[in-house]
Amino acid sequence: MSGSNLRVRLKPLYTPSDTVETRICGKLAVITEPVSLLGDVKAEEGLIKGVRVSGRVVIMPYGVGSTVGSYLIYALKKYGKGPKAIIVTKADSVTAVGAVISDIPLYQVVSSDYEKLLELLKKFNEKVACISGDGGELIIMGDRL
Amino acid sequence: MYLSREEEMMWNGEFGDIIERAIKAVVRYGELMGADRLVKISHAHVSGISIFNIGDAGLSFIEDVAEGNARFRVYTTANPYAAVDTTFEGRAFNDVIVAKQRRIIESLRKLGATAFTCAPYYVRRPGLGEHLAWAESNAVLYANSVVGAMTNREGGPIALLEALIGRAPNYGMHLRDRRVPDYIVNVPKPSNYVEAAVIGYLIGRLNPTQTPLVRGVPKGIPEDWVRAMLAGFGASSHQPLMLIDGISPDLKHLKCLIPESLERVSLEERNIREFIKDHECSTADLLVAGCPHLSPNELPEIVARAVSVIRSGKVRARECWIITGDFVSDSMLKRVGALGDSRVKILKNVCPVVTRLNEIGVNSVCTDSAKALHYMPKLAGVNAYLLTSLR
Repeated sequence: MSGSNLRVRLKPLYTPSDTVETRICGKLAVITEPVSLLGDVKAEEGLIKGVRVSGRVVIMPYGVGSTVGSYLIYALKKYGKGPKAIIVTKADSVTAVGAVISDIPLYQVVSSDYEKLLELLKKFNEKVACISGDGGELIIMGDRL
Repeated sequence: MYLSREEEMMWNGEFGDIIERAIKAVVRYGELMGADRLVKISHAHVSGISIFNIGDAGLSFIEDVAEGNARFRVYTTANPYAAVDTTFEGRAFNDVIVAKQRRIIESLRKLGATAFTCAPYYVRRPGLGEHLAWAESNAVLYANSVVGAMTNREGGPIALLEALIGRAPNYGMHLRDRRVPDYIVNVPKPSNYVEAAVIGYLIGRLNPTQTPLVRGVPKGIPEDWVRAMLAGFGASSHQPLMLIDGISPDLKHLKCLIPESLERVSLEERNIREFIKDHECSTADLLVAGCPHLSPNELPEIVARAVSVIRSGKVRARECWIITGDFVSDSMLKRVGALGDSRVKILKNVCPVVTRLNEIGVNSVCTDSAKALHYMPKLAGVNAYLLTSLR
């Protein structure tokens, strides 16, 4: 790919053992508002705040509200509608526990202006993006690999 | 993270697949929270067991865990479940919900849960400095603030996994130097249970993300008022600890270490009175007492008062549910039950707050609990008001 791809620095928070050193690619699902997992997740449909997340690389601010929310991430996975990876701007325990019990890789954005970044990324919703094998970078590729 | 030999064996699958998955989840979660190692716990308390809260997702998670041979490694209690076996004026919950709730209870029993209550400290009182993995905010606050035990405010699923391995990540409340106040709040002297509950609730609203040092709570205040205050605080705040002058054991060795420069705020008597007035109950479908579960001490008086309130029509209500746990003996229940009225029901091991009461025709509830007042509109699907005449 050309060097003009948009790159976002990441820090891996949780990598299931079978995904270590593996590049993770999928369409990007961008959620710009904090997510109350209990309430905002429609597990059977694979939606978070109305955004399709199944098989995608989700980027969202962070989770808020009831700790029961962790079960909703598990439900997405259980129904076969789970995301390939979740990227948050701030680590929270509800999302972290959800990712860990569902074996979904979790990353945190390294950036000083999260809101601006999410606003910018909104334009790339449904574009293909990859998380590098070392978990240090999100590379937005465009419409196809 | 540092792991002991036994923990490494768990990690390597020598205790089975479920234990391996549990320790890996707890360690990864702990690493996120900055823990350096795991700490052995003596008692786990699991929350998130109402079918209305956790739905099919939670049910399948708990059943998946219980399916194999893994069992809780330490003494474990669980929160009360939804009151699906209770009727309101003869109306019952649908069979599907009842069956699913029973499956959750069965799985937890199979794993080794010994009691279903939000007051696990009445089933097994922890000791000073004991490490716990408790979910359920009022219990966490009681353990840290009244007993001087050490527990973070765990979430439902993670407490279940910690129970399986008998360990919790060593961070936050497990570390003595994190159990310190961030600010000082002066409160007026409460004159009854409801005022104590509201004081706790309003402290949490002042500052939901910091640990308060509360001054002004009189010596010799009934323990049940302290429980009400902590439960109220837990509903409006994220904190696992409220340091209460004259009550919290941690303060004994902290006293000289509290800097005089800490920020100070005050709650005024009128703040409490206004809040109560704004939420005052006049009429409701249902009265609820027992959030948190009533202690054996308070139960007889509350039953007597409930019967008198319902009969006198002082507050117009169709039923009154009084909630407690198995730590109240059947003989005592019989004794207080004799005072009863068919409209006054004494229920054990359930929680109406996590029960979709609107599904059995309840639209409004009056309660003496600030915590129930806070959660019932969202979780129980009812309008909620504050009831002062039971106390």
